[in-house]
Amino acid sequence: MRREAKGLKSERRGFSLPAKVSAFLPVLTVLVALILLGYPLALLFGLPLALRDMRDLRKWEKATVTAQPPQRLNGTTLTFKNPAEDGVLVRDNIPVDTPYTVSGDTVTLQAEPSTPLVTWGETPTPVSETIYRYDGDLPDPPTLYVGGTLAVGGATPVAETPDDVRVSFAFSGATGPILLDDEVLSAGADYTVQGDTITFAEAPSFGGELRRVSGDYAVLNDDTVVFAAPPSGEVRVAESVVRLAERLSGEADGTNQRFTLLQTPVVETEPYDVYVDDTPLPSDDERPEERVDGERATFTFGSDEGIVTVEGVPQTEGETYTRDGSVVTFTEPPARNAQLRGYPGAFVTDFQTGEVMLARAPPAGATVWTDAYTVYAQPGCGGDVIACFLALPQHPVPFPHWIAARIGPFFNKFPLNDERNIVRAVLYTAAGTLSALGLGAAVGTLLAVLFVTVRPLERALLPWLVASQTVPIIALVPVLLLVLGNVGITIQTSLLPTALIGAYIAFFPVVVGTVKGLRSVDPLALDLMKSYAATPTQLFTKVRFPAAVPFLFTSLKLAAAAALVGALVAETESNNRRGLGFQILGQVQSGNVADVWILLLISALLGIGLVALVGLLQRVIAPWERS
Amino acid sequence: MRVVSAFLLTLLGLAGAFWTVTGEVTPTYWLRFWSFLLLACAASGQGGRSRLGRLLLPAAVPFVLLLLWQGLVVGFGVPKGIFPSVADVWASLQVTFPVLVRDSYVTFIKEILLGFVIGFSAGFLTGVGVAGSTFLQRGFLPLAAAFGAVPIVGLAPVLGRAFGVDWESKAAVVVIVTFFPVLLNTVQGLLSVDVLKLELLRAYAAKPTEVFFKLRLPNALPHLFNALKLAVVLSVVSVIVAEFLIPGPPEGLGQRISLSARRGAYDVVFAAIFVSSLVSITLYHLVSWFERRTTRWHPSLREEV
Repeated sequence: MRREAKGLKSERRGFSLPAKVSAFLPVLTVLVALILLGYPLALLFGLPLALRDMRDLRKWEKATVTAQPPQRLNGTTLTFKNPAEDGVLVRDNIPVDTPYTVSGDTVTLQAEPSTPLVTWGETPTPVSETIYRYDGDLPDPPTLYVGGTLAVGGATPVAETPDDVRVSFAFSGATGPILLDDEVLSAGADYTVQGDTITFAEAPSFGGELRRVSGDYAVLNDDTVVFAAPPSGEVRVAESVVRLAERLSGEADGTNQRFTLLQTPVVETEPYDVYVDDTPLPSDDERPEERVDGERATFTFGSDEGIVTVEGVPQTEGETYTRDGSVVTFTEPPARNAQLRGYPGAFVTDFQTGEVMLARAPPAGATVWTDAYTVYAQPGCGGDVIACFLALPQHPVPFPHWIAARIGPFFNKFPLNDERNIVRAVLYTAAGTLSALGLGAAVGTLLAVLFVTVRPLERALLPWLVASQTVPIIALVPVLLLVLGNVGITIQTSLLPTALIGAYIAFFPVVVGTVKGLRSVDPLALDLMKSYAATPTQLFTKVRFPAAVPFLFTSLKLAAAAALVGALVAETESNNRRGLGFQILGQVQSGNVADVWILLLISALLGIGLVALVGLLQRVIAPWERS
Repeated sequence: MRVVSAFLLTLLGLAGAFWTVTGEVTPTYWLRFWSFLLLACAASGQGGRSRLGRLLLPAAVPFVLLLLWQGLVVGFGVPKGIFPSVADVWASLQVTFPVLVRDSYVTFIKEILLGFVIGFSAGFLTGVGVAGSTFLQRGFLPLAAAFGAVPIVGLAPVLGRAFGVDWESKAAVVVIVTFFPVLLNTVQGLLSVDVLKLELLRAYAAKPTEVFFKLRLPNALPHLFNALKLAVVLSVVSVIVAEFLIPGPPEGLGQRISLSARRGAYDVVFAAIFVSSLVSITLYHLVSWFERRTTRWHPSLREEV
């Protein structure tokens, strides 16, 4: 008889608590420790994501260039036109890590950056779902952000003016609500929509201003903002957006026309304003007066100097064209409808490399600089990591108390008569798992008996059973469902597909365990039975089976967990909204990570419950084997 | 003599079945198919007791199974888009082989190897720690069942969130499926030490490290190998599940299977399954070969010989 040592230090334990306490205390401690471990884990997994969000340009609050007149960068002092007490200095889309101080309209830095600054105005207060009111004075035009994303404003005026008679009006390219004299009309009651045509119940009065919201929002007279649809996040107004200045690299020697941006993070392809000393160069582009019809070679522009581009490619004077004042003559006529532009001041040849081409070489020693190359932004989630962490839409590991807070709403999310109700889902999955377990156990036991009675069969098939378990079952689920669907059995109506898939995984431990059990017969008992001239059937029922029972139940416990995995996999492939597998996948897809964790816990509990059920069965069937 | 005749008859049966399934489906198709297949089965079982004769049946089984598959698909005229025949799979295996090799590199070297090494080391070290403390044993072991019951179906997407959709999250899945079997088996192996031996070592005034390296660790080896064999198979299956549930860059066998299944190319699906099974069987046998080399002294292996 072999005795087993229980613990390395068990002999040395001097004191002992009451038995019940000492049994539960460690489990409880480990459980609490695991729950507490959730907090550092949440930070460990969440903080990198928060940092990534902070640096992810797409998650930044962007502003269009609502050009404040650019201010020069003087040494390490940045001057902004609008005083800004709050904001984040950003360069290359990454917050400036150089320490800086903001004082009124001046920012002082250690290095020489050119960074943007956004200051936020008051947050508009919602009046209704789509109407927001701004208490102060809205900047004109306002720059609005919804949930960190720049919103597009705009309203389309109606083509025909109201005249007291007309009831149908056509709007093109707008889908939002209808505004009449800055009053929001309600769809259905005041008008009906059919395609682009709006039909009013009552003809709008003569001269009324009829508009339709074409972007995300439109601004009404009294600083009210109407959204096309209820905004999906917090609405914020950018108070001021300031451009910064930067010197261009390249020597101004009196002949050089090409300069390069010191930094080239050209994200917003807004027109560049290029300055020579303090004089801004004209930044507009000009179209020729004549049509580009493929035959004409002579075009007239507004200015008598500048860079000429065809399809965005700058042309070289003297080679491809000659200039006579404002008249440009090409050696080869540009192709029909080619984009022909003239840039009287400067032209940015390549937004990637940031090369700037000037129409006229600046005088030697002049400073050439530009103002617009950065995005005026700050991370959508706020300025610091913790705020970004808390604002993460999906935490890989939520704080344990967040999960706990979700449990109540999660259980009440669907009423009992809805098949998505969690209790029903658990029961459905349990039914699938039990049928899989039953099928797997039956097949497994049968195979084990066959293997023990017909030895060659075991040699022939056992290696292939091992191989069968290396086949990724999830890959076969779609195939299996397709094949079963062809004979009219679907996962929507029948538990059979779930049972088959679960049984495929569950039968293996049963076979292995039962074969081992049937073999682990005391040789003495076998000899005894033989000497009593027992028949093979008697041998089986009286010696082999009782010997196999503990093995069978051990392997059934393994099989129960395996069958659960199989059932869950099968359910993820179904679309009948039933079962835990479907719920897990659904919550994963909708990004409710806390709910996924709850479902994981429930699945784990279900697994433990099923294993306990097998244990209970064992006590009933084989009470002599108390493990 | 008996071996030779059994071998020839088996070959005849297999060849006949092959001829049948590659030919036209005539009215006598099923008759020919089943009789040749039965002949092959029956003959391969009659190899006698010699070493070669005993090998005949296991060797014949794969061919019989493949022919059965091909025969059923051809005989019932199942379209390729529903269930491909062996010939279809073989053909697409030849075409997609370079792709599958690249996928296997991602799945096995990048995802599984790294995850396996981390999961194994972490599981082993934690196991040593847990075995060293009665308190931790009592705390951890009852919860072990709960850890094992957390389904990878749900865990994989969560890990995908945490580690990104690239190969790192799949390696994390492997870490988790490796960690728990190794932990549990390490604890079990380290603790199921014969008390007599333990007392003998104590009597020799052995240091705790000596007890660990000379008695406990060797005793845990068979348990560890069991865990390894389980973990190898489990990690291949799980990583493929993970690739299904964390759609990332289109590389890796699971992604290949998932993408091919979605466009109905089941021949590619089976080809990829074939490759993954082949590799995991090889890994499994590699581990058991290693087991036989290192723990030859253990009773469970001595009995086999």
